[in-house]
Amino acid sequence: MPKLTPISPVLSRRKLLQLGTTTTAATMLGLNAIRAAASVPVNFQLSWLHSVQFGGSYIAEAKGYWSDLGLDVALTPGGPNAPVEPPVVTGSALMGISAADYTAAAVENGAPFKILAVAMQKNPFAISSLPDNPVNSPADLAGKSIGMATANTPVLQALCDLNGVDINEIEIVPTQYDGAPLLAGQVDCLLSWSTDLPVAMTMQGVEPVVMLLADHGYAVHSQTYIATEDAIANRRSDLVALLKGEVMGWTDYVADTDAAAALTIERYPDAGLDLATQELQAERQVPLMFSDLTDQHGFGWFTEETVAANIETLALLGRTVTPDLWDLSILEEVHGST
Amino acid sequence: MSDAPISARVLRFLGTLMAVLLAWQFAATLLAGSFLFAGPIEILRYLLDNHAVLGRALLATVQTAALGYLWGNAVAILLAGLALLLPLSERPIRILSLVVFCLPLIATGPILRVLYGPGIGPQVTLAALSVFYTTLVPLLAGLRAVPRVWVDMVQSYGRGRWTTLAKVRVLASTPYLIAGLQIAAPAAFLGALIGEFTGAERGLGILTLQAMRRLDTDATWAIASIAAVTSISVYLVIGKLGRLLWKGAPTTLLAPPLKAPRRHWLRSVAGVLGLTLMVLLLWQGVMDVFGLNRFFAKRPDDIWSFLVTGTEAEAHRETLLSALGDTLITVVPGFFAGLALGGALAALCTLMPRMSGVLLPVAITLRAVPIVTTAPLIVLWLGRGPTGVITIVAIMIFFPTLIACLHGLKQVPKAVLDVCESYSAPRWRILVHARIPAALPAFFATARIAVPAAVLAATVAEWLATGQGMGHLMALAASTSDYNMLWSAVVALTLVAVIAHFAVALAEQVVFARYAPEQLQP
Amino acid sequence: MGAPDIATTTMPAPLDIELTGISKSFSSSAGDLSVVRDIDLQVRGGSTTALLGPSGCGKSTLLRIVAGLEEADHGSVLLGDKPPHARRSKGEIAVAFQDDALLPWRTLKANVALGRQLVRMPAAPRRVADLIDRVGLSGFEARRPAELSGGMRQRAAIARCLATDPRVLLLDEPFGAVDALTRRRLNVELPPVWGDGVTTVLLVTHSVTEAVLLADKIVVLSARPARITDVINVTLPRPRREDMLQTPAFAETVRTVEEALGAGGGGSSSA
Repeated sequence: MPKLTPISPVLSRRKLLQLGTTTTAATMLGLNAIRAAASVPVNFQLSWLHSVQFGGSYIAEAKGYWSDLGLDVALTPGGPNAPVEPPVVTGSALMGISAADYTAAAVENGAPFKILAVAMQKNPFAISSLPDNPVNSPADLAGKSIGMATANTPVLQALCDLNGVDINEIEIVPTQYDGAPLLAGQVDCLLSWSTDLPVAMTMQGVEPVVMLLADHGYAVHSQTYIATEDAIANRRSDLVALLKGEVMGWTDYVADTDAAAALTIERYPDAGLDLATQELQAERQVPLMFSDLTDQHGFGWFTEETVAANIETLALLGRTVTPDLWDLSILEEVHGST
Repeated sequence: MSDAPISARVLRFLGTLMAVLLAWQFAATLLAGSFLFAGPIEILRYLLDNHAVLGRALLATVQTAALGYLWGNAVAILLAGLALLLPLSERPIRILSLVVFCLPLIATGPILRVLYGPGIGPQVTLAALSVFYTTLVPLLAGLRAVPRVWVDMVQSYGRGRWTTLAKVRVLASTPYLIAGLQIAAPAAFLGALIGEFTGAERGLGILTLQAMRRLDTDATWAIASIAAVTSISVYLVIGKLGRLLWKGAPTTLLAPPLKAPRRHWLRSVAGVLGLTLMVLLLWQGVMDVFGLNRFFAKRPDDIWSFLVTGTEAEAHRETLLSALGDTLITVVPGFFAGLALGGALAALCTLMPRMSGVLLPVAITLRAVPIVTTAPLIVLWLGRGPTGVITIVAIMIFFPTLIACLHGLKQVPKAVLDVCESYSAPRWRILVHARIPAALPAFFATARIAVPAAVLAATVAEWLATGQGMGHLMALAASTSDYNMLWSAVVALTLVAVIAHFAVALAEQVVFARYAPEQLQP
Repeated sequence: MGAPDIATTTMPAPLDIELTGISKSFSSSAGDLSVVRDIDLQVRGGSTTALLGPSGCGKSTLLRIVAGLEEADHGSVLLGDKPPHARRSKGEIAVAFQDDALLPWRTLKANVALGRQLVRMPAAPRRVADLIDRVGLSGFEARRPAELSGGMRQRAAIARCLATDPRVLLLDEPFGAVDALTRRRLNVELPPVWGDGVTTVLLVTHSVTEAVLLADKIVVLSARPARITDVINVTLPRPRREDMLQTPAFAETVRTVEEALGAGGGGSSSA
């Protein structure tokens, strides 16, 4: 078992520098800045490039929810070549956004992660097709060609297992994460997140048929919040504060998704985002993130039942996990003290 | 080279440009609705509408590329100087540089991100990594490519290797350095662009990703055009600067003398073992010095147990070798196709000097357009099988080959050309008898550089476009935190590159022994 | 017979060259190759001596040993009372190579000045200009080597050699790369530039005419390994002129040298 060091030396030096600058600022600004001086710098590792996918976090930052809670949060974007797990393992990020299947894989490989909360109750994976050749149910997949990143083959396999479809009857065409092959007629359908490629197609004037995998038994928590056991033990209050601001941000988000989209564009003018697309995406991810369960218990919640369903699907994906992977205690503190 | 008056050359250039733009617009019209291709009109419209955002992104990417360019080239120049002053260090420097250059982005990206934290550190480093080897290799060649008599002359005044370096070698190597710096310019830009995939806040790479996701073909091609125009401009400006600064180009530059003293095989084996040991120690050392976490920063013993002694080692080896097989099937033909294409086009440019006016811009453009943008188009044309990847590999390496061979074909001693002229030999005969032998050293030098470039191109194409082979395996391993597999893949690819590098060196010796024995003397 | 060690800027006494028991061999795949064997030679200070022998006999190697560019396996080289390496860095030795060894990125003037720079002598623009004039290249100061003809380049190389006022001038077939006519002109025009009776000149050539035209003494070498087979004094008056080539005295000397060359260069006679 490799021993994982919580904080890299590089980080501690940077933290020192950050502390240095905040202290200087504090002395310059006088009394008002005392809270700022006391605020703890925290890195929050997002799972992808900036977009309204993380709208709730931008609200938490813009409205000062985190600074009120004594945190100075840096939102670090991800990317195609920026896996979330390494910065979280080393402690250079306190918390990261992952997904249950990726987290399970990381834990199998020795990372001491726990899932603290679940942003996407329903998994966003979806199969998009064109209306004249639609895929409405998994059974329709037989005899069709599907464009997808071959890395996602286990996802398709799990869907087939769950619905009694023979995966050998589906022709898998390796594609980039890109809608063009469907629109160019190279494939019959595409596997992607329901919140990006289908949204892009709609914006281009092609309304695709979208079949959400979650509606056909594919239960894998997505956009999950992860932290290390070490952070949970030693930086508990910071984690609670971070997650609390996050919950407050997402609660505001659902009240006005257009505002969240507008804020995203305003905050990240260089991210290459387009307002109309962001508005549509913001709207489309609401049913994935908010449900009766979250209405009842609050944003991010999960239960023994949803965890059990996840464990079953993860088993189909070849990942053996126990309920220990999930840790509700932080979220309980967050919602308990709201 | 053309002797036509400037106005005629400008007219010819404009004519070619118009023809290209028209053909482009026509192709875009044919492909309309495929979401793969945009014509110049759509691109122009997009550029005008979004100039502010694009300008800021360009500035961000250019800034990181420029920093990486400076660092990478500075390190290359320092290492070349070190190798020259301490001849014993040359082999280790060559091999270590090759190994570092071979490290796939997909493995280095996360490590750099953890080391640097947020900011442009990783992009700058990746840009630097993508240029330093292509500068180091020609520079080393240039520093050695000094006629013996110049060294003797300095020595006859009682001066040693420092003075030879300062007074002779530095200046004699300038054309090689300029060629390297020129090739490095587009490479740094693309390196910075791809570096943004490691989690950047802004830049053209970020815009490309978002545009492709949005199915915004106009945006994708507008960004690609900016990238291409920027790369080409920098390439041309550096070439021009080089010619301005470097007036007295030598008429005969001897090619890098390959010092290949016959060594006892035991010594060779000991050398290989020593180098391997050094690489392993360095690997372990870097990981330990930076205190990198074993979860993602694997050490040599992790990989040994993963591939050799562990319980599932055999299954791991099988996965790895099968992916390696898939990749080699595309890399090997792509490598040879790229070299052949580069060499053939260079010969064509020499036979028909006017052709170079058309061919060179097309060649530079092909190299300068980010592979992220072109890969889907190439795949559309050639299918998702190996042909597409082979083409991408060939495109990535034919450009440096073309440039190197063009330089090489000009390295014929004036006296030899005079002899040929005096017999009024036709151009092709001069090419075959005088120019090609003269270009052989440059050709082999570029072939050696092309080895890691070919491997990198193939893995990037597999990662981004086809989902097969090592590129796919590494992406999959990274996304599922299977860092043992990722590092095993890195080791396997590095080994392949090093072996191929030596295979090229061997081929070089065999060819030189027959056609240019003087190159084999120390 | 050592020369007094006087500062080189004033009129220094000529340096004698003394070779004692010089041997040199190179190792190659086919075993050791003996190139120079047991050479004993004294060159009088201020005179011009030609080393004459068939191509590839090792005479260039001998010259390189005198220049200190090559270490002899056995034997010693003395320039006056010092070995070559003690003389080189003061600019007391200059070598003109078969190839002109001009640096292509330097102008003619900068190439001529290079010799002084390399031995860290103060720049002497007037001396450089004067030398360029004396080798007949005035007006070409700003040209680069690529713009000069082969003959002009050799003149420039000689000027570079003379720029440090060397006490020993070593010429390694300096006119081998130019055509016969130019070569003859250089043979006649250049010696007065260095031939001031102060500079000791050692010249390597395989041209009998050149040797006779330039030298006071001709040392005939055998085919490899080079050994001295004969030493012939040239008694023709100085300055040597082109019209001397037609004189019976010249023809007689040439004939003597050719006979010596034929006898010595014919094969490997015993030591």
